[in-house]
This record gives sequence, C-alpha cells and structure tokens, in this order.
Amino acid sequence: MSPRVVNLDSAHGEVRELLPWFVAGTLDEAESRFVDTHLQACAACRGELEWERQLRAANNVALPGRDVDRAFAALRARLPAGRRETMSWRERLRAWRENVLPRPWLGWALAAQTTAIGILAVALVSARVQTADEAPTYRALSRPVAVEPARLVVAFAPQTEVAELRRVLLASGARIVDGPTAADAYILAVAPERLDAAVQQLRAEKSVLLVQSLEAKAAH
Amino acid sequence: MFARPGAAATAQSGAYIATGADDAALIARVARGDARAFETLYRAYFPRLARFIERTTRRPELVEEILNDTMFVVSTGAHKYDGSSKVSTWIFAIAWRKSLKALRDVDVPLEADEGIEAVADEAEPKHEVMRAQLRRVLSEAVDALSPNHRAVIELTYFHEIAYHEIAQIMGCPVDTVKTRMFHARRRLKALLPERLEDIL
Repeated sequence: MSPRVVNLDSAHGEVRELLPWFVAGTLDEAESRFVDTHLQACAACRGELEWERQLRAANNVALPGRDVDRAFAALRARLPAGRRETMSWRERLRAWRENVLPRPWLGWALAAQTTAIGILAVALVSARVQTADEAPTYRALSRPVAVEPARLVVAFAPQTEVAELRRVLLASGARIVDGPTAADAYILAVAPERLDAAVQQLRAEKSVLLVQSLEAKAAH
Repeated sequence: MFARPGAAATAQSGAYIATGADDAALIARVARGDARAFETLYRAYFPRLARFIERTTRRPELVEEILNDTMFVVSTGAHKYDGSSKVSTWIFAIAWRKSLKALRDVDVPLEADEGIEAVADEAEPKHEVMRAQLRRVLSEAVDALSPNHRAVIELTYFHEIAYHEIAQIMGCPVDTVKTRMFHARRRLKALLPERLEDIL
C-alpha cells in the first residue's frame, strides 16, 4: 500500500475511527503505521488512545466460567447418531494418520510405549512358562482344578479419571492385577471365557489407548 | 513510536491461540463425521462463544442453548464450510445469527439502546469509586447499548478480530462496523469519567 497523504483534520477522524483496532493490534501494517505516525504528532489523538486503552481494559473483564462438560453432553444427545458414535476402524486409522504422522514426537512416544509393552508381555509370558516348568506336577485328587485368569495389557489415556477407569473395568469384567508399568500400562485379569468380550469391550472405550492379550494363543 | 497494544495485552484478551490451519483440519474431519474432532473443536470454542453470546445477548440463561444451536450447525453443516473465510469467522457468524434469532424470539430490539440515561446517573465521576464499582458501571453502560453495538465492541476488544472480519461475521458492510463502533464509543464516553485510569 502506498503512503497516505492526508491533511491533519481529516486524519484526526480517520485515526480515531481506527483506534479500537489499533489498540487491539488487528490493523494491517500500513494502517498501523499511518495511525502511529499521526499519534506521534497529535496530542489530542494520543489522549483518545489512552481512553481507548482504558475502555478496552475495563471491557475485557472475566466472566464466570461455565461447565463445558455438561453443555457438551447436552449437545451430544441432540446430534444425529452417526455423529456421536465412535468411529469405525477405517476412520480411526485416518484420524491416526492425520493426528500422529504430522507430529513425529508423538509417533516416537507411541512406538516407545508399544515397545515397552511388548517387552513386558514377553517377560510375563516367559516368566509364566518358566514357573510352569519349575512347578511341581503333583496335584492332589481332591484339589479343585484352579482356573487361571486370562491376562491383558491395557494403556489408558493419560487424562483418564478414576471414575472413568472404574467404569471401564466394571464394564469389561476385568480387574487390575499389576501396574502401572514403566510405560504406564496395567495388567488386567479376566475370566478366560470372557477374554474375547473384554478385549472388544476395552477397545471400544474412548479412554483406552491400547489393549493386548497376554495369552499364548493370543491374536487379539 | 506507539507499540500496538494488542500484542502486550493478549493475556487479558480472548485471542485464540490455535492457527487457522488447525481449525481447517478439524473442520475437514468434522465434515467426515469424526466425533472426536468435533469434541476438540467444541471445547476449543466453548469459552469464546459463551462469552460472546453472553455479552451480546445479555441473557445468561440462554447462552448454552444458543451456543449448542451454533455448534449443532457446525457439526451437521461442516461440509458447507468453503474456506473463503477463517473457520473462526464462519463459526462466530453462525453464533451471531443464532443470537439474533434468540433475541427476536424474546422480542429484544436489535438497534435501539436501552436505559442509557439511568446508567449515566450512576456514572457520575467520583474519585472514591472503587475499581469494581466502576467496572460494573462500565458493564452496565455497555449493556445499555444495542446488541449490534455490543457485538462490535466485544469482537474488537476481547476477541481481537479485525473490522473486515467483523463485517463478515455480522453480515454488514465494513463502514457499518466502523460506524457502530464510533457510535458505541461516543455513548460510552458520555457516560464515563474522562480519566478512568485514576480509578482503574
């Protein structure tokens, strides 16, 4: 934009008209320079600038906060079913690509967490195998056959609250038997016959980042 | 040289820290039905929209209803966002239209100032007036303006939106925005002590 050539009288009006946005810092560079140049030479408009600053400060008082969770819950109930349900796996994959891939550090963090969980899983399985090898094979005939629970590794979203954690555990029928691990994962135990259902249930939970069965045949 | 005050005063303003690119990416995901993207957008805009609606309508009891009407349109109409304006401009424009509709439903005039003389009586310059009292007086003075004037003041001062974007939000010419601001400041100036900093 070319430099403005204006007489002082018309400049007063033009500058005062722009002062609110000058004070807010939202004028473009040429307008801002024009106002700035005028203010250096005009005491009256500098007085207006001071008043403008005070008015803005007085206007920008804080209002009481509102409950965003309650408001969002109310809106969520109104949304069409397709817009409030969890995403399909295809949409999740696309969202993951869009969210994680542009942020390499997040990808590395997830990779590190997954690796740590994998190491933990291997360690647990090998420990169980070793224990089984070393355990006495003698079993009294009167002793009831003990049913070993199935085990899972689960990573929860970092911001998950205790109430949500409790709800997820109750819904899946699992309970925490170990953790948190170095990677902030937990080991859950669940009745073997409920293993598949629990995995599905946990994977559907928004607060669960990762679910991995530790059972030998696990392909979950 | 006079520093542009906006940069120094950002902490007390409602300037949104997310970039336009972030918002555009979220809207694209919302258009594909991504519920998490919508929740992210909702939470990011909730404080600013709630304040804008409350300051503009002066109806605290209607704020969440108007805000949710706005975000309902954002959720179901995200595919209509064409990128010709900032996402924030598009969303605030929806909020402004929803606010106007709500005010019409309760028969509030959109142009006329209200009760401004009554406020002026309370706003006599008194140096012993406490800061909180003066701010209350200013708040009442702004409240006495019409919704059109309050919206321009709020979008300019708190939300730090340029006048050409305010024109887009309010669906009016740029000159109308400037005229409304000029009128609002003149009315406020008539009501308030000349040297607010003595008391603020």
